[in-house]
Amino acid sequence: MSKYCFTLLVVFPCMLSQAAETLDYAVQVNSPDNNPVQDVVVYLTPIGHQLPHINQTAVTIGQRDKAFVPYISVAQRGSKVDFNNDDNITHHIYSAVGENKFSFQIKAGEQHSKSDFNHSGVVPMGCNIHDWMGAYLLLVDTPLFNKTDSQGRANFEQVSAGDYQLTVWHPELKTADKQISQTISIHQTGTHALNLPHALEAEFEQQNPDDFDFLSDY
Amino acid sequence: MPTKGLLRGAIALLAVTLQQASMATEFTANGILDLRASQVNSTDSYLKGGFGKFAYSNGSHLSIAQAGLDLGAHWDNGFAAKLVLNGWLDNEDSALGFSEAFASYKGLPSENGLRWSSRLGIMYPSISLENTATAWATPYTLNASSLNTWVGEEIRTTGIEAKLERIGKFSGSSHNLSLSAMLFVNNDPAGALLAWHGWTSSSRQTLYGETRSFPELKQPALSDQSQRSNPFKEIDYRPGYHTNLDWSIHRTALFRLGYYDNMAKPYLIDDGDYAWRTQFAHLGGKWRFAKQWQLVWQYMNGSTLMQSPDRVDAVNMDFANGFVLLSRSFNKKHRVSVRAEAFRNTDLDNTPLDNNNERGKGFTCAYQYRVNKNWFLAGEYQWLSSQRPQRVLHGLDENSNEQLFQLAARYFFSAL
Repeated sequence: MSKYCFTLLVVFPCMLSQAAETLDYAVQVNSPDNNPVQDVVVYLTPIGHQLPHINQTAVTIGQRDKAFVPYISVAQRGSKVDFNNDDNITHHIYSAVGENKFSFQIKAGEQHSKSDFNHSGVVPMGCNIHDWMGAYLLLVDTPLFNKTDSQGRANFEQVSAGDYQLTVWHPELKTADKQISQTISIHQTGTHALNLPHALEAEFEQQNPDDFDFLSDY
Repeated sequence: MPTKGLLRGAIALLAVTLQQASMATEFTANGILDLRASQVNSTDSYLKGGFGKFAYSNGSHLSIAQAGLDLGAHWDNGFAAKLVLNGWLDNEDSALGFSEAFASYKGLPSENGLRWSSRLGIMYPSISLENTATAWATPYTLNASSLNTWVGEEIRTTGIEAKLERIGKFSGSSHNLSLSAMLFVNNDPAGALLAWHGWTSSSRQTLYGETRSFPELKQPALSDQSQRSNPFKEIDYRPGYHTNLDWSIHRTALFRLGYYDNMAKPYLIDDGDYAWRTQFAHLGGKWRFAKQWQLVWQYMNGSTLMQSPDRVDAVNMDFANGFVLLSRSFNKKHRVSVRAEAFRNTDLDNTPLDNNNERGKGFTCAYQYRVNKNWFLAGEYQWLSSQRPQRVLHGLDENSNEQLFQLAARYFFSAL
């Protein structure tokens, strides 16, 4: 018993001191012509060290005006994902590709939660009723992930110093695996800037091109 | 025999469908009410056996130009059932009944973007690119083109259809392909009305089991034909087929190519209705060449044949029809559409007193105002000029120039 207490007394302050050695870091993503690019996924995978926490922030993917909102989501695998149907019609949401295949119907105004996205990777989603709907969920294996803001910045707080694999992903990035990757060392607060090798291709437009509300399946 | 096979298939699918009924079922109801005021310069409407090309005879009319209700039941496993009720209330030929009733199945796409779906029952084959709204109404104009008015009048298939789609986005492509094939029965007299009253333009569809009159036949040898044609009848117990290919480019264009053949044995007659061997190829497209602009076009070319019991041609006719429609939407509030069309029937037989030649062209100009989400006000002008020698035998002029002015209040709804 006393030995256990001793361990707690010694180890716990060590963990705290380790946690204190964290710093804020940002990644700036620009297009080849140096304009900031929004909604690009950026994540940091530790190399040669382990991160002390997991990021299980729940993600919400809405269906609004027969479109997925947002178009791109990112989460750590195993996180809870809430699907919210804000439309007044039923959607049939599915993913038919990869290791996180799923399919369910969601009625008007209802919510469907899933916590079994256990594999990292890309989950392309669609609606089997409205084929023009499409969105992506990227599941990563690290708690350090974010999407770039309107300034092209992805901010990371309390990053442990060390080496990281920096990955930038976007479904319309025309590189192998739709991503670029590089190794960086983080030892002080700062910003790492990078330029995408190509401009992003036009985003998949989630809109029924027929602008009439009462169409039937003919 | 094929009818029996189809029937057995229908019962099996119905049984599966009913079995699913114990699962969560979702019901949907969509509807349209079209209140119409029409002013026509014409003769007697084709709906009451005249040669007039519109659904109204010469004069002024108030009518319910369509009251349609589309009822659906959907299950989580991809099965669905649909019943479309339609009604018309006017001075010509009012009717109330159903126009479509079928069960369907839609699978999930596979990993490479292939998806199977199927329909079984009474349905429209995929031909019209105009009649895409609730209960087969058209969102662009009040009256459909003459091409699709004929599809609504005589083409309805009771059958089983299988469709394979390739969804392009799975492979990063914006091209989608869809190939369907259908075997059907109960459409053997199709072609009779096209031969005997020619092309027409309206918002009327023939209900299942409904019969339609046509101008009195002057050839005594055709006296076995009853005075009203029933297009949805099986006469030779041999199924026909329809096959269709759709190629669409995400948000920009659609191209459709199909072939219909009812495979009817043209020398058979059943209880006042001849079997007409009707076959045609149809192609069409939709092109959104700029934001809010749409170009819709269709073309059809085919033939119909009806013979005496000793297999001498009574009616042997080629037909062709095409239209181009240009539609501009103004932020969903206003819509302006113009349509030009032309048609031709060529009578190839030597039957006297039954000249089914026809040539014609038409122009439609339509405006729609969206009052709120559900209500639309519309105004439409239509001109149809045709030449039909058979009219002379009925004391009419061979040539006719018909005009139609219409105002409509259309109410669309969708409810769970």
